[in-house]
Amino acid sequence: MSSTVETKASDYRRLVERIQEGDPSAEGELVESFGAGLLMMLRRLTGNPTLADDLRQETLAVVLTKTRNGEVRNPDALAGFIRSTARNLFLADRRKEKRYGELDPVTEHKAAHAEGQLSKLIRDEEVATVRRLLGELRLDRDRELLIRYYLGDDHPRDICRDLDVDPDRFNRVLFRARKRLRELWRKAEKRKHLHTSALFFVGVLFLFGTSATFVSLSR
Amino acid sequence: MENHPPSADRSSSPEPSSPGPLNHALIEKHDVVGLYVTGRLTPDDSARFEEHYLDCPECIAEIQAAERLQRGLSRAVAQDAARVGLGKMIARALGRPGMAWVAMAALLSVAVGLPTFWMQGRIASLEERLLQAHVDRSIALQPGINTPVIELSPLRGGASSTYSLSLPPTPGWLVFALAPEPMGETYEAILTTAEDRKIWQADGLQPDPAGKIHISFHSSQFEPGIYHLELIAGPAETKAGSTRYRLEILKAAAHP
Ligand SMILES: [Zn+2]
Repeated sequence: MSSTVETKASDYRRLVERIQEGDPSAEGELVESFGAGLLMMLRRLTGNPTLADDLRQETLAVVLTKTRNGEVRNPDALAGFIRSTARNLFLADRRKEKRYGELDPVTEHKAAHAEGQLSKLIRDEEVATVRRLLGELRLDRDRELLIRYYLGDDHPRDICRDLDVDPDRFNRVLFRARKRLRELWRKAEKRKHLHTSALFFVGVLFLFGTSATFVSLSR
Repeated sequence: MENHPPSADRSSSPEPSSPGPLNHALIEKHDVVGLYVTGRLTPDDSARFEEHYLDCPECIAEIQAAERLQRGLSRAVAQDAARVGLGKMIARALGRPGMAWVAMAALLSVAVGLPTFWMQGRIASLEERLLQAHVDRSIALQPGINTPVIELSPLRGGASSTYSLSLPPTPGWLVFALAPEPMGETYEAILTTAEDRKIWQADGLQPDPAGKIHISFHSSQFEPGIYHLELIAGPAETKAGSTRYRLEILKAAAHP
């Protein structure tokens, strides 16, 4: 496993070197590689997608400037440097801004799921898919496990004890549930795509039919 | 490089978390994604995982799936709880209050399939918490008088520097004044039980001009027992050292 870690470190080192050499595509690669992860982390920290996006832009700008100026002391730990920069910018921003309200770290975690971030349609779809997933589970115990783990604050050890599940099975249930959920969502996306394509096709046929009728009538 | 499992809020891991990068085998084995999304990772392990997933599309997709699962579950349970309310109404309308849980169970198991008994317990506990929140709020709105300020000294070596404190007979605020030793611009504070179960955590605490950190806790947050309060200097990623305090909370003394 250490080889993967070393590969990552050497990739980071090479990326930093290329940015310092003035390679513009290297800057694009950094933004491409870290942009999505940064947004995810900042969205969880701030609980506000717009604010998270602002902070991401700010973080990437600071990181690129510091990299160009040779201020990244340990290029092997580029990810750690980017994370620290983002968190420091977040903390500085929170200190001066009232927009965070009185969030505590626990709320920070939960705020990522705040209302109004997703359209009602997506929310309903999420619920429907989760219900389908729950319906597919054979054991009541597995359903209870998922609910207690994701919604409760019980310690995983207590959940295992109460439900008489060994920790290996516990993790397997959690992992499989997420995997299955991703499959279900992928299928739903595909269905939606097919549906949209079909509607488009029907629309084109309709337009074609109408214009053909119009042409034949006008002759 | 040997990797150690990350620990869920310090108490679940049989061995302490150790620094070092994560790999996917370890992330999967310990369900790091789930622990992260449900806020059960220690700050150190969260930091390690964040450094990992910043440029890992697989983990980002897993986190998104876990978040959607959590959101979907939360909404499904909320919808069912609303239906449970409907069940109560139906039973009340029938004039047979004892039938309420039967109606609810039927609604849940037929329409939803969620574990009914767990749901009953959960709703009861939510109602209890709501009531407690009302009580806490009314207490919080009272002006604070005779608020005790407790100066804590750091834990060095043996357990001799434990601070013992009796809970006040009527719930109220306790202010702790702490003088952390490694000086930092900001601090992270973590309150844990003797079993190392994290019960509170905050980042960005700033010292006053005398270098002291003040934290107020409501006495109702404490059960009698041993607690550890840790102050970590600097933001999470540049920790310059930490100071630990040991607290022994005793039962409220009876009214004279
Ligand atoms: Zn990963």
